Parts: sequence; C-alpha cells; structure tokens
Amino acid sequence: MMAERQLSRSTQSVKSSNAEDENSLRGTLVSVGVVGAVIIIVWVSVFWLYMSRV
Amino acid sequence: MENALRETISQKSSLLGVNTEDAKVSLSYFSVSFVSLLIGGVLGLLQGLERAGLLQLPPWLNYYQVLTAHGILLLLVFSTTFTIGYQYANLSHSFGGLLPKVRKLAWIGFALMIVGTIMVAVMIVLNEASVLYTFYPPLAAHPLFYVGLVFLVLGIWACCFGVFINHRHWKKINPGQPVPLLAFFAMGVFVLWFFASLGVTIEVLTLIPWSMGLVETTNVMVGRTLFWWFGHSLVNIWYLVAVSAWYVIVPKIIGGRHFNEKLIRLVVILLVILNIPGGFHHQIVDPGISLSVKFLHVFMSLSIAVPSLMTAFAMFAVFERAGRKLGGKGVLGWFKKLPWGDVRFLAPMIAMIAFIPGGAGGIVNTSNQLNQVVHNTLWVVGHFHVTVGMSVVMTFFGISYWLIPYLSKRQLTPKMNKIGVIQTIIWTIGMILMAGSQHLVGLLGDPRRTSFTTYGDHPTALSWIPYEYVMGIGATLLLVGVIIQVYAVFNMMFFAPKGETEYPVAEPEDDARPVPMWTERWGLWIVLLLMVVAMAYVVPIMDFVLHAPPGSPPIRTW
Repeated sequence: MMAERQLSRSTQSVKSSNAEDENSLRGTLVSVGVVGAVIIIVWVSVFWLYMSRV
Repeated sequence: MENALRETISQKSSLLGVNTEDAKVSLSYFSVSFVSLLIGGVLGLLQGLERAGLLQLPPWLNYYQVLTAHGILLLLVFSTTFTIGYQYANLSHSFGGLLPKVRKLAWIGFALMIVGTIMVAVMIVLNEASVLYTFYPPLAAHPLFYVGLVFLVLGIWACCFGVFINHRHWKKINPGQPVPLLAFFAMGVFVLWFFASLGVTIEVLTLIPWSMGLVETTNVMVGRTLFWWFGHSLVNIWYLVAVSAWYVIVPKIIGGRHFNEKLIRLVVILLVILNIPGGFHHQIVDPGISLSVKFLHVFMSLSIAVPSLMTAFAMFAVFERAGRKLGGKGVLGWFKKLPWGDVRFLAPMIAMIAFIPGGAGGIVNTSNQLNQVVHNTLWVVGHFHVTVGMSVVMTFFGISYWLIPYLSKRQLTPKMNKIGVIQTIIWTIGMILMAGSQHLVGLLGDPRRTSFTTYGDHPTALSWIPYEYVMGIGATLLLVGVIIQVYAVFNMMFFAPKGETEYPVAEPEDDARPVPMWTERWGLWIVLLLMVVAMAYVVPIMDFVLHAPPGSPPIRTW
C-alpha cells in the first residue's frame, strides 16, 4: 500500500515535471536575451567607430 | 461547450476558401510580381557586377538607369503586387469570398498598375528617368514617369478601398463579431498604405508641372520630406505583411497555435499608428530641420522597436511551445524539433532570424551620431537588403509555396519542396555574402548611389574592392535564387499535379480568451494616426514653406 502510494506520488511528480517542461518558456527568455545582446553589440560597435572618428 | 464551439467554428472556417474568381485576381497579381522579380533580379546582378568593377555596361545602358529600374521593379512593383495578391487571398479566405464590386476594384487596380508600370519602365528604358528609385527632386525625370507613378498609386488606392468596403460589409452582416485575424492584418496593411501614400501623391503631383516646365522651381525640402513620409512607411507596410504570415501562418505549419490574439492585434495597431512619423531619420543629416523635430522622428522611429520586440518574444514562445510538444528538451532542444525541411517554414524562419541583425541595423541608422558613420554608404544598401531582401522577401517566397498551389488547385510536391529548400539556402548564402560585405564596406566609407570608381586609385577606395567582389559573388547567387524561385512559382501555377493544398491558418490556444472588441475601433486608430502624423509633419513642413530655400529647377545629371 505504502509502496503503491509512493509510486503514484513519483508518477505524479514526473507528469507534473513533464507538463512544466512543455509549458516552459526558458528558451524564449534566452532567445530574446540573444536578440537584446545583438542590438547592444551592434549599437556599441558603431558608436565606438563614431567616437574614434570624431 | 467552448471546445465544441471552437470545433464548429473550425469546421466552418475550413469551408471557407478562395473561390475561382478571387483566385484569378491573386494569381494575376502574382504573375506580374514574379515577372518583375525576374527582370529586377537580372538588373540587380548587372548592377552588382558593375559596382564591383567586374563588368562594363554598354554605352546605351548606364548604371543609374539600371539602379532606378532595379529599385522600382523590386521595391515598388514586386512588393506591391505580391502584397495585394496575398492580402486579397487572405481576405477572400477569411470572409468566404470577395464582394463582386471589391473584385472589380481589384481588377481596376490591376489595370491601373500595369499601365503605370509600363509608363515608368518605358521612361527608364529610354533613359528619360534615371532619378534612382527614390525619385525626389532636384533630379527630374520625364513627366510621363511621374504620371506612371500616379497610376501606380491610384491602383493601390483602388485596392485599399476594396478592402475597406469588404471589411465594412462583413462587420455589418456579422454584428458584434471580431473579424478573422488575417482580415484584421489586411485592414492594418491597407489603412497604413492609404495614409502613407498621401505624402508621395502630393509630391508627385507637384513634380509633374515642374518637370513639364510649367513651374520653374520646386521646394526640394518639401519634396524629400513628402517622399520619406511614404518611403519610411512603405518599409513597414512590407514588414506588417510579413508579420501577418509569421503570426498566423507559420504556427499552423509547425503544428502549433497562434500567440495571444490581443497581443497580435496590439502589434498591428501600434505599427499602423506609430509608423509614418519616422521619415526624418532618412534625412537626419539634412540641413534646415530643427534638432527637436529630428529628435521627435528618431523617437518615433525607435518606437517601432516596441511592437517588433513584442513579435520576437511571441514568435519564440510559439516555436518553443510547438517544439516542446514535439519532444524538445532542455533550454533550446525545441529549436531542433522544428520542421526545417519544410520550405513553408524554413523560408519565413530565416526571414525572422534575419530581422534580428536587420532590426539592430535599423536602430543604428536612426541614432543621430551613428547615422553619421553609415549615412549614404553601402551599409544602408546592405541594411535594406537584409530587411527587405531577407525578412520580407523570404517570407513572400515561403508564402508562395503553399498559396500558389492552393489558388491554382495544385499540389506542393516533395520534389518542389526540395527545390524550395535549395532555393532558400542559395538565397540565404547570397544575401549573407552581398549584404554582409555591403555592411562592412559601408563602415569603411564606400558610398552608395555611385557607379564603380577608384577615385584616381586612392588607397582607401582600393581597399573597398575585395568587399565589392564578395558583393558581386553574392549578387550572382541571388540571381540563381531568383531564377529557381520564378521557375517554382510558374510551375506551381500551371504545371504541378492537380490536387488540394492546405491554407494554413493557425487556431488560438485552447484556453485563449475572447478577442477584445476594442481592437476593432479602426476609426479611433485612424484619428490617432492622423494626430501623430500632424504632430510630426505640420510644424516642419510649414517651416519649409514659410522659410523656403531657393527653389530648384529640374536637374538632369545624365
């Protein structure tokens, strides 16, 4: 009985972690971070060129 | 209950479709579009090779003639006719067919555009209009060139009114219902197009008597400003068209659902309202414009980054959800699960990725000090080849692989899909080589709008040549891409096996909330649009008129 309960709990936890994984938007967070980084790098690089030429 | 209702709606929507009469409209526009792409592509290669010093044009064909024709055929004719063909198909699909009078308007628009394009093209071929695709004064073309442009604009207006009439009719017979998402996008595109084209219409109407000699001079500042009122907005009209496919079509192709409709509609509304008042970032080094007005336009140009970043977030979220459902694990495992072998996904996906450097480059262009580094250099040419040639055009190519067989009641075969994938790869490499080298050599000072020259073998000019060779190689690959694409389009239009093709329209998430009806208040959005246009343009244009610089006579440099 006890073992069955433990098994059911662990199945539930696997299910919920799977569901969590399916709904996770961690990759989206990383991806928009990359977009932000590209914008900053490009902007700073050209601004550096501007400063070195004035 | 909700699910049952959703299923009913879904079944109902699957019954909709583009009828034969409406399909003819879209296919006719697409035919003009891809013929223009072929001619414009050939001219693009000639230009690229001449600019690299690898080809000398014959005496009867000058570089600026080729540049003008390439720009007008691709930036105006190709993009306009594709947009109308695609948006009218979307409208027909969403509304269950176009109204007969709207179809008539689309045909009238088609005829007007053909007449206009022929007039413009003939004038360029006769070397009477080598005024570059930006055609603002003081360069003056033959009057018929401007008359041709008027016909093009009238054609666009006919299509705008068609969309407005059909939208109004649908709202009347479906009271209290939100219009389908693709039709909402169509409204956004054509509202923006109508108001954006007002500026260039006024400009062209003033240039006709000037080019005919009836008026001696023209106000160059006003002419340039009215052009960029339109030119800046046009870029975002194409962008909005591409975005409609990113939000609504691509999620269905990857087996996902579209993102929250409220956000999507907000993106459309923001792009429509905020767009027009950014024109001065194209004139940021022009004299005679006050710093405060320039700052206002810089701010408005940068405001477009807001809906663009919202789109980046939403699209990544759609991809991640779909990829995880397909078994993607970890932080970025979902990326590999996406259907990379499907050209209907691959082409628009690369288009979206290209918008990351494209958007970053746009922010550089619009920043005052940074603009001084890149102004009038090949960087700008590289920028619009990445944004238009990749982000917009590759989305258009991706659309063509399902929409054209759908309209011609044929199939996208696995073989054609493979050809499409190869075309996409060739196009991507070509654009990376060409636009990449243009960006880099632009930073070294290589000017745009100039035929090949070594400036008397000046060492700086000689240092640009290797980049220009890479540009020529990229342009060659792009023409190969154009030829494959045009072959694919006409094959799918006339020769592919008969059959059914899906019109991929994504559904909302199961737990999606009802569409907010306040987003449908187009009257309010137009009032807000006019308010920001007035805020940005009334003061400077009055200033240009009241404190006008000496007027310019028509100038012909060729």
